[in-house]
Amino acid sequence: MKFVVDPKGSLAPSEQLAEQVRLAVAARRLDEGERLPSVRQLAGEALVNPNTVARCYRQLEWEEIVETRPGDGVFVAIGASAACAAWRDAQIRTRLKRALDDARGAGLTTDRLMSWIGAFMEDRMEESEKINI
Amino acid sequence: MNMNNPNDGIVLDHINFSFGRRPILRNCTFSAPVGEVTALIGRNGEGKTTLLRILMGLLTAESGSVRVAGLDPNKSALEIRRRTGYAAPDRLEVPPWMRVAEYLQFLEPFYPNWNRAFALELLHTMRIDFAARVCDLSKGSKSKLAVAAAIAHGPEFLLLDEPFGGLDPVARRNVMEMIISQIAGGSKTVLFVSHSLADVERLADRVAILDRASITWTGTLDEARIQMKESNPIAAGFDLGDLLVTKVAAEKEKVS
Repeated sequence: MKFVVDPKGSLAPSEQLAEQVRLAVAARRLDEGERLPSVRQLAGEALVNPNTVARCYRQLEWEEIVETRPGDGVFVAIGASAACAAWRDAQIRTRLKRALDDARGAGLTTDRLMSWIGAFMEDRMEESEKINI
Repeated sequence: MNMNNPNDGIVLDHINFSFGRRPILRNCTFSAPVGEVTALIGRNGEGKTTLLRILMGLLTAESGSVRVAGLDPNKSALEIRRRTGYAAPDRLEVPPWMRVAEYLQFLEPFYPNWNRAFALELLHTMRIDFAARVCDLSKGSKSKLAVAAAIAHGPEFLLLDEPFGGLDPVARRNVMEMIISQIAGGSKTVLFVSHSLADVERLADRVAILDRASITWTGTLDEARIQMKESNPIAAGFDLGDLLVTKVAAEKEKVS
């Protein structure tokens, strides 16, 4: 999997990396027990200071999402998938809720919002069909 | 604080320096700790290069104290240079006849830990022609050569003066990877000067802003983020340039 950091993002680079790991674990693109890239590798790939990667791994270790096996490497912890999926769902729900609150605040009707959501979903389906062909 | 502690990295304490009557550095105090990457930023002509040259013992501060690994550059310049990789691509001064291979041969005897195989490998990866004359290299290739030469002896200290100047995106990535691979051990002290704030945001742990001959702000990038967030809670992202502008402007108001 590929890690990217946008130094201009509102999240600190170490948090951006942590977020990408959590999402990958939630989606099972990184499986439990799988080895993560070394600090040096990941720093070279994402072009960030290795201390930033080390900080990200420390944070994830504290959250019990990864475990460090001294002399061996950093691995996705057993049981991390469910925790990451729960975290992802909470994140998306919060963002959705915020968007809905903004829309309500701006005086949009529920019907209008629902029709937009329906249209977005259709666009997405067409896109994924195209990709499948 | 014990000024001579070899584990302190780079420490400057109330440094003053001027060219003639023109003050370049006034009461500059800051440090670059071991294991961290410190970036020195500021406007053009603010004495950033001078500061690096003082650390290398190439210039002497008029007052104040300078320590690199607990050593005074005035007394132990050779020892410091042996343990330091210094790259200043804009000041790469070599005789016009000197070719890349000869330049490496010329540098080798100065450094007890020079790693010839590593130097050759770096230049090979960077696609630098060993037979080319150094003075004929493009600006980007000179940067690559200067950084490669600076890290070829596995120094404890890296002082880089505009290492990304004039680099195309591929070369920039190469140079950045070289520097990152050096930092990864965790025992190096890196101090670099750059106008490329995006590169600073990627590489630095810590930033020092030099403006009007003084250090107007130092802190970690995380601290910079928090400070910017507090001053502008609705900002969509983070821009080190915003911090730079406020620190430069704040100083101006103080003067007037």
